[in-house]
Amino acid sequence: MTMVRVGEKLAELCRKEGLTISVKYVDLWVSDYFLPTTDLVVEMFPYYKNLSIPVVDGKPFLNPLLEDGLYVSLIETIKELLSKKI
Amino acid sequence: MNTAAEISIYLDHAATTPVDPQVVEVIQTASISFSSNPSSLHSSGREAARAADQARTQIASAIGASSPGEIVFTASGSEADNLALIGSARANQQRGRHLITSCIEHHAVLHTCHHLESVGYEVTYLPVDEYGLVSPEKLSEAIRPDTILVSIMHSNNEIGTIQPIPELSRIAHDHGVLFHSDAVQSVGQIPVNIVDLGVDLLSVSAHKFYGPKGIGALYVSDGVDVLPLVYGGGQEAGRRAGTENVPGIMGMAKALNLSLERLPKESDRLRNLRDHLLSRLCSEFTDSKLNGHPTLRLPNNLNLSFKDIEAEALLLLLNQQGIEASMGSACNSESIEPSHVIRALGVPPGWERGALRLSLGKSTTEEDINLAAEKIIQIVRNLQHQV
Repeated sequence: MTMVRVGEKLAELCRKEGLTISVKYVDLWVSDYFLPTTDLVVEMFPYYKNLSIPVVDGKPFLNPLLEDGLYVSLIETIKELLSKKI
Repeated sequence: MNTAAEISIYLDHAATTPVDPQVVEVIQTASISFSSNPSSLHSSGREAARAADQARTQIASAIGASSPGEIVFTASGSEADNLALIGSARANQQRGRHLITSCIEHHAVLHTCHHLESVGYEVTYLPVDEYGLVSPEKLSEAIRPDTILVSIMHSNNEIGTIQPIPELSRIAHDHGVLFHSDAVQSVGQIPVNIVDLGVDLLSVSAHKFYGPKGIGALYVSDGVDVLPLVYGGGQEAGRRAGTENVPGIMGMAKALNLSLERLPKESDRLRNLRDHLLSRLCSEFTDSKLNGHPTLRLPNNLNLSFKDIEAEALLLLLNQQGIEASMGSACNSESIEPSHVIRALGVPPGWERGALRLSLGKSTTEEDINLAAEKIIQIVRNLQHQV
């Protein structure tokens, strides 16, 4: 359930940065499918292999001491991805 | 994605237990033979009433109650908890409106307390120590002249810690306060005797000891007033309206008797298996933490926190390998916060999301434990070595 906390905080941080993103959650208990229009995957544990889009390791989110740093680097990655789209 | 596994090892008996085949037989037979309404005056109705009364007597005797009339059947352990708290709070509101409970109770108690607070009662939530034990001294300090009820669970559903109920109930009684205990996890796992515990109210649920779901009971000591939550007919001596679930009641009695017959040997067997599993996992992961008391705990319960992993990931991957476990109460799987029980123990942040609950049962074998240990070790290693 860390993913929900992370998703909500990431969306909020992006809003503050003026970045427009949409966060979707993948409940692996139900299905590992996600939309083909997805630009970035943040996974809480190693699951997806050989994806053609960037996959960020979300494990540091489990440790409160590491999570702030990961948010900073995630926002940089998102900025980079968005700039490529423009 | 959840996929079917070749093996199937069920280590979630604290959530629920499979119904014993002998209990299924009793329920099937009762459904046919005692299908009349026990409140009916005709012969078949009287037969159904007699069957239910016989089961009531067996259940009363199994927990040491002095009379069958002290057993009130409910539809679940949660309903029994609700009836105990709301029913006695309403019956005693002229005496006071203050209740005491612990912060690690099942939500059936905690949410009921929140409801009572919303209608003008005050509730004190006692903290627990690092093992999940309630301090008798803290209970003593919390009792006020307007305290009407203390509710402390017999054993915790997540960490298995067994509370010093005889001491706690004595303190409550010394102050003239009623004592309720949610013994849903304990009955059928360890000896539970009303006289030894000194409780006035005690909640039980059949599906935790290989009985059917949809049937529970509240022990109400003679002379203790509990106002009903459900109004209608005068069933259960006016304390719980609704036509009795005779097959469920008979199934519950049968399940309880079978559990008690098995109990001494089964407790030892499960404790040995559990300790073996604990020793294998702790020797592999020296930074793992046992949640709950090392010895004052249910024999079938193991709750272990692994560092820097999320238990949900572990559960998902275990499930793919055919091993079914839990991260705490089965009722809180939707919560995005770590379990309130784990938090109350003061488990450090790196461990609080990694609590895995493994609860063994009568079908658990040594082979299951060895295989489960092997799979858990492999998955936790993978999860921890990520990054």
